[in-house]
This record gives sequence, C-alpha cells and structure tokens, in this order.
Amino acid sequence: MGRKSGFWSLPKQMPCIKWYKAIPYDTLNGYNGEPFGYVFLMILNMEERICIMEMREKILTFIEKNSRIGLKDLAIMLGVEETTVAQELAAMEQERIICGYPTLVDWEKTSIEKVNALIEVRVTPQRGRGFDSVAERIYNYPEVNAVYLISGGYDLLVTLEGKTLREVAQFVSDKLSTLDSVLSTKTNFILKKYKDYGMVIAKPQEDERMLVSL
Amino acid sequence: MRNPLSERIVDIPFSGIRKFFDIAAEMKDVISLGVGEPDFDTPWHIRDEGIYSLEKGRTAYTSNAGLKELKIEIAKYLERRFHVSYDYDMEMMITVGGSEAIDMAMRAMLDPGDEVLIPQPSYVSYVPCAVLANGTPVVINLKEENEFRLTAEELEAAITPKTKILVLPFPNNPTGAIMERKDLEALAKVIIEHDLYVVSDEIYAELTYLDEHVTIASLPGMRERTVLINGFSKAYSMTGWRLGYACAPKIILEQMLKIHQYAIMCAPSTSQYAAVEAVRNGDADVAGMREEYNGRRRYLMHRYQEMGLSCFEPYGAFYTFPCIKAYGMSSDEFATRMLQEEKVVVVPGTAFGACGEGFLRISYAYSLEQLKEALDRMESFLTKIRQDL
Repeated sequence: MGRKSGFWSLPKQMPCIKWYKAIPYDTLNGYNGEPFGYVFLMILNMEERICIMEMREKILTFIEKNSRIGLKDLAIMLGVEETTVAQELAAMEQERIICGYPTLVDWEKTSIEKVNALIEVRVTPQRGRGFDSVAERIYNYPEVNAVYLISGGYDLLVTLEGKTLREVAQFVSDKLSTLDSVLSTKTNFILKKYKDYGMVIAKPQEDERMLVSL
Repeated sequence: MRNPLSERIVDIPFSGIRKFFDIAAEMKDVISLGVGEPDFDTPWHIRDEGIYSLEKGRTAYTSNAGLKELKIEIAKYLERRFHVSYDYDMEMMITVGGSEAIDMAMRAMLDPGDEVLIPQPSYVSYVPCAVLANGTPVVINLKEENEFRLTAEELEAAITPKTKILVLPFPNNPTGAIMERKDLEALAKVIIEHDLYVVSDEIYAELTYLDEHVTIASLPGMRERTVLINGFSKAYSMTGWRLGYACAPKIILEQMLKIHQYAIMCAPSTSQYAAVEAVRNGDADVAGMREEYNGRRRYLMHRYQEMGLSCFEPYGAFYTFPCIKAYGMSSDEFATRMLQEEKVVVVPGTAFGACGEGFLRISYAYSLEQLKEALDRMESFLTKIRQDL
C-alpha cells in the first residue's frame, strides 16, 4: 500500500514509465550552484501513452487465450522489441492488470474427483465497508474459487470446489452459513461444464478444410 | 460416337494443384500450409442468423439481385470502410461468391477479340473466365522487385488498341501484395487515358496490414469504369456460404444481372440472411481476425529470415510468397520434395501463372502451433537441400 500511494506513484492515466528527464530541482528556485538533487519528470507525451496503451491491449488480447506463448514469439507477433514486451508484462503484473496465468483443466477426464458448486449468498452489508469485509472473509477460504458481487436477487455468488458432495455441504453449513452477516445461502451443484473461460471444454477443434485450395 | 465436348473448353487446362492434393491426401501426418481460406469458424452470431432464417422458413428465392436489406447494408459498409458510394438498387448485385462476379463481369463486357489484361501471379479463374467470355487474356508478369505490385509502366506496355479490361487482383492471392493509393493513382491515369475498364477483385480488402485498403473505384474518374468485386468469404470467414457481390455503373450491372438471372437465379437465401448480420455487426470480428493474421504474418517473416529464406514483406491477404530460386529446383520440384520428405504442403507459385516460377505460396491461415510445426519441418528441409547444393 505504502509504495503505491507514495511520492513515486503514477497518475492512473499514465500506464507506464518510458523515459525520465532529470532536471536539477534547485533550478526551480533560481539557485545557480551545483545541483544537489534531481526531480524526475515523465516526458511521455499523449501519443506515446496511447501507443503503449494500444500495445498493452494487444499483449493482453494475445495472452488471454494463450498465456503459454513465449516472450520471443509474442514480441515477434506484435512487431515490438522483446525487452519492451517483457517490461510491459512485468509492469502489468505489478499493477495487477495481469493477475495470474491459470490453467484450464477438465478434471472429468482425470481420475481425480471434484465437485463444484455455485452458491448464492444473501448478506447484510457492514457499516463503512459494505460487502467488502464479508467477501474477504469468504474468499480467504482456499476451497472458494471465486466470489462475485451480484446485482439482483442475492448479493454474493460464491463458486466452490470440493472433493465430495459432503465436503461442499459441510463447508456451506459449517463455515458459510454461520458467518454473522450471512442471511441465507442457496447451493447449486454443477453437473457438467460445457464451456469455461471462453473455451469449449468437451469437443476438440478439428480442421475440416481441404489440404490444398487455391 | 461424336465427341461430346467443346474444343474451347477442353483447351482450358485444369488447375495446377490436383497432383498435390492427390499425393497429400494419401499421406499421414501431413501438415498443410496450402489452404486458401480462413481457419476461423464463421462467427457464431452470423451462423445463428442463418439458422434463425431457416427456422423461420425463409427458404424461398430472393430477388435476382439479392436481398434488399443486405444490399442496403453493403452500401453503408462500402461507404463506411472504403469511402465509395453505390446505389443499392441499380448498381449492386449479390453473387455466389466473388468467383461468380468475376465470370459475370467478363461475360457482360467482352466481345470476341477484346483483350483482358491479367496481372500474374494471381488467382486462377481470371484467364478461364476471360476465355469463356470470348475474350483474349493477356498476362502481365508482375515482378518481385516491385513487391508484385502493378506499375503504370507495366500496364502501359501491355496495352494495345484491343485492350478493354484490366483485372486488378489486390490484395493479392497468392503473393500477398497490395496496391497503395499512390500506386493506384498512377494506374488510374493510364486507365483513363486509354479508356479501359477495371474489374477489381477486392475479396481480401479487409485483410491489409499497412494502411486501410484503398479501392480504385474511390479515385476520381474511376467509379464509372470499375466493376468492384468483394464478398464475405475472407473477411468474415464464410467461404462455404458462397456469397459475394459486385458493384458497377448501372449500364454494366444490369447486363451482369441479366446473365445472373438466367444462369444462377439468385444467391443462396440462407447465406444472404446470415450476411446481413455479418455486414451489420461483424466489424469487430473482422478486426480481431486481422490482428491475429497480422501476428502470424510477422511470425512467418521472422522465421524466414532466421532460416535464410528470401521473401518480400507482404501486406495483404493471408499469404507469403517466398523465393526459392537459390535452391536449383523448380517450384514444382521443391514443393513435391518437401511434401514427400517433410510432409509439408505448400503450393508452387506456378499454379498462379508461369511467372510464379521460383516461388511458393505459403498461407498463414493456420494456428501458431501449426505454423511452428510446419516451419520447423521446412527449416530442416532447407538445411538438408543446402548440403546437397
């Protein structure tokens, strides 16, 4: 927290530091002797900022569907320097624009048993902190996969992963329902996943085109 | 028995890829870079509209020129994307792919003896269509040093008093060449001076990677002498739907439409209903695909450079056209050997005209993984044949 809000923090609309210009800061006061410190000013103009934003968007579009693409290939495909891509990726990880690189697994094809549930939770928001503190209490459990604040008939949508039905049921009755601010829960078990994270799970994509066409 | 066939038809050769197709079809573990169509599925919202039209029972003929709703949308699209305006009612017809439009344009405009200038390497149908329409095809050989663009000098040199039509196949299959505004302006001067007509096949118009595509019809004085051909196959990944369109001055279009009416009746209704959705709400799909192709294009060019394969940088369509003259083999030999030894399918440049000799058409309408695998195999083939040199 401290780092983000300190002297070095960047205005939100400036996504990246490209060049700094060192200016002796005492010249600002009309002092003519040896400078004893520098103010670093960002000299990104609007065009450069837009350029970087566009590149970031392109990087994100590419890796969202294929996070395993190598740095080198990604740089080639975007037509930019490898170091620039590396720098932007690092910056976006730092800024939590990129939050992780998970793998989409179809557990049904393995021998590992998993039970997934969607739980609709109605809660009482807390004074001053709204839904945040109860959401935090819930997402801290490792078996919780996702927590979303929802508009509509209930407040939080919690997705859960357990080994067995009983484990999930136990979590809901022992942990979730007993939280002070939780008013009610409604558990929906997932029977089958057809598509997840924008990818169709069951069917492999086949190229049905002819081998050669003009 | 009498010979059942027309001599003129028998004289037209079959296209040059049959052999490859036959060999490749017999082999296992073949990886192909030989396809001339997108690898994306038609976006779902477009397919959905096709299905919906079937559910609603919209299965009758449409009017000969095509669905009014579709033509209105296309007119808006051409205005929005390429700054050229056409009257949807009098100057536009929906065809069975761009291919039909090429055929119709030639048939409507040519008399026996009229010469048609066809820059090559280019798509295989222009010459046969000109012949079928009683015209005389005259080939202009494009040069690699000009990045396979057509120059005003080359055009000028090919013109005779009999020249009537210039075919402009840009962005180009197989070379990936484009024509920029300045190139077209230089041509336009010659075209107007010699009173030629242009059949501009712009089926790859949405796939350019330098600047936005410029249609020659948008240049001053050119609209009235241009038949603009475009379609849905490449932009929206809709090859199998068979849907294209032609825009031309009324005097030409009504004759094209007459032939279309007798020969075709109308383009498939289901495809037309789906196409309305494509042209109305498909801009984002096109942009996404273009971005993806562009990345692959850069990847290919980079790999060529790494493996020392010479290739001019193409800025259009989804083809590269590397030069293999350094390896002492004809395009056909090279492609055949690479297929047999490394199981990679590419198309010899000669399939697109004699001046394609020494080149290969390599398509990047494939996923990055497929491209990688194919290029790895190509690289090992190159290493092998370099040792034999």
